[in-house]
Amino acid sequence: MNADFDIIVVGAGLVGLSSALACAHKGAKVCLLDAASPETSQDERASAVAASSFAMFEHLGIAETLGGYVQPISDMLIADGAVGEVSPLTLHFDSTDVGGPTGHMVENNRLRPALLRKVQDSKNIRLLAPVEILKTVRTPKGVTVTLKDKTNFTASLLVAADGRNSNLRQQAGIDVQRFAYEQKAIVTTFKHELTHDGVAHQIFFAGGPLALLPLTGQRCSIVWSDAARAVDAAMGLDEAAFTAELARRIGGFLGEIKLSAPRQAFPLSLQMAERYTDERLVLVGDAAHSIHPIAGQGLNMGLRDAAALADVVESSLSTGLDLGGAAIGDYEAWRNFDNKMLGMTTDMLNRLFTSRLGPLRHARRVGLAAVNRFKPAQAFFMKEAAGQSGDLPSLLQR
Amino acid sequence: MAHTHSPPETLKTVSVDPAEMKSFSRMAADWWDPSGPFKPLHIMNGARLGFIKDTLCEHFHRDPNSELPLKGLRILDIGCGGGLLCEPLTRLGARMTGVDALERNLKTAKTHAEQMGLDIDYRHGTIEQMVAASEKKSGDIPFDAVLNMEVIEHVANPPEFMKDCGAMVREGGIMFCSTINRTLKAFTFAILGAEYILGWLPKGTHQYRKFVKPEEIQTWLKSAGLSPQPGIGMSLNPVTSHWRFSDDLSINYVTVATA
Repeated sequence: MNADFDIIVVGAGLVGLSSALACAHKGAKVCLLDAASPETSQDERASAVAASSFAMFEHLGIAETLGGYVQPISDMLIADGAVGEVSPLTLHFDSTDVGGPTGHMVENNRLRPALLRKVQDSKNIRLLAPVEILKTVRTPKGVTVTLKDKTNFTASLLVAADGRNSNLRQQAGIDVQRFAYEQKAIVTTFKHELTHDGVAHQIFFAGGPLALLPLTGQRCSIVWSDAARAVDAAMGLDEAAFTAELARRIGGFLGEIKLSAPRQAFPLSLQMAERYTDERLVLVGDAAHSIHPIAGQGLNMGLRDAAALADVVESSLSTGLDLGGAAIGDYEAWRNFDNKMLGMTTDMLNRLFTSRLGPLRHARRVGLAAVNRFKPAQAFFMKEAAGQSGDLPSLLQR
Repeated sequence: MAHTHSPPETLKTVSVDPAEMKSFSRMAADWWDPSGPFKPLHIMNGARLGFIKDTLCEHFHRDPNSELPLKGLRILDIGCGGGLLCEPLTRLGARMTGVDALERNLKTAKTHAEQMGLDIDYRHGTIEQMVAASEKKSGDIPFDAVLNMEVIEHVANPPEFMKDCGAMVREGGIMFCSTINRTLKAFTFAILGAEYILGWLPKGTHQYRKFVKPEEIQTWLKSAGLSPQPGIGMSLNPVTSHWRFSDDLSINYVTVATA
């Protein structure tokens, strides 16, 4: 049987699109399927793209098409909301990248169309959306995906990029460990009077952190994590009252603020798939892991999945190995440990920063200083113990 | 099942060690299970395929980045087992012939190749039978390359076996021979480590006395009429399970020889 494609990717979100592009960049023939029409996404979130992830967007020719919509993050400041003033301690976004900005802010509703255009232009990718998948069959011989109109597509490998409630993951019987925080997050964008100088802020309150993420055009995106009830209450406020409450929390250093996008609320949870692979199946992005947004690492984890997958695909293609064979074990070993470490770290950060206990509240101010020292230690450990000889996937290197 | 054209007595001569055959026969069905008894070969496969491909491309002036870099090359894989080398090399364009003394291996190999839609010429038998057969056919030697990978440490009479292997390489062709060195380090890693501690290989897969020193390989290759290059070491990082090529020949190493 000669397959129609090397890889079928299910899910055309940010990570699905990036996975398709990264694998196609390495020479794979990719089919990308999505249940929704590609232009319908309404996502008001912005993504903090770490320097290494941004390098991948440069390699894939995405960065240049984002043009004027990329805001470099010059620094990241942490503050304790109880104190009411910005702490002088800085927490660096991506300690492995020195020199240049620590990351870039891009709005998802800019990023997704840029990825989509590149996918539509790629000769190696066939995008079919919207389509309904009737069934997928994975055997030692290969993968067959049957659409509702009875069309069949075959491939060597199936990539599940179908989100946190991944159907493909459930069909494969892969369990998840799940911890629902009693928190939700509000996402929106506002314009402000004074310049943000490219600085990202995390202001910690008892209910959760408020992240102010600099965007182009004198705007900031916010991720306001708080107790579920507090979020519901804030969502119920009219725009003027919500803006006033937000301004009170920000504390005035940006001057007057005015909302420039609708508010969206998301429940927060930590979810980790127990494994990332099954017969001829690989999980990427939220299908494999979703973490607390406290460190802004969710998308970056997914992009690293895509880049690691692309490397495994490349080495299989260049040596004639079966794409869905033993090589997917390399992907599992490479990504699973890395992501679990990050998931646990963000969970610990959230617990540390949202505790109402006096001693912990005090400790977190001390802890802020420790994070700087902790990150390189963590990076070192992850590289040595899990790190597959310490190499970043090739697409993440400059 | 008995094969009338290859009775056990003839199989015993040069390449087949009956005790070895028994141990491999038990594992035949597991060739393609990446975490099964052939796990070490799966872990090694990407690295050794990369080496074979690059060396062949250099020797035969092929572009390694083309879609079918090995297109048309006739390659013989001796002791092909379940086809772990034959299948990927076929995808790279080579016309593979795989020979194995164990019928059960070939059954696995044939079934798997059929599932993958790959056309591979699998033959049950020994290298000396192939040599005898080709001599009958006026000495026509069709193979551009011969793979003699992780096999010689399992055969009964290595120098004779090597001569037979060499006889299957055409003039201007190339042979790859990989094996395990007879050193204390190799004993520690390949036998104690892989078989007894990590449990990667069934106990008894390797016998220390049959491991081969690099100078022995050189001598045997020369006696077979080939020009060997210096050996190249392969080392495994046990933490990352990745193989690297190096100048450390103390455990696994590969020797390339031209005809």
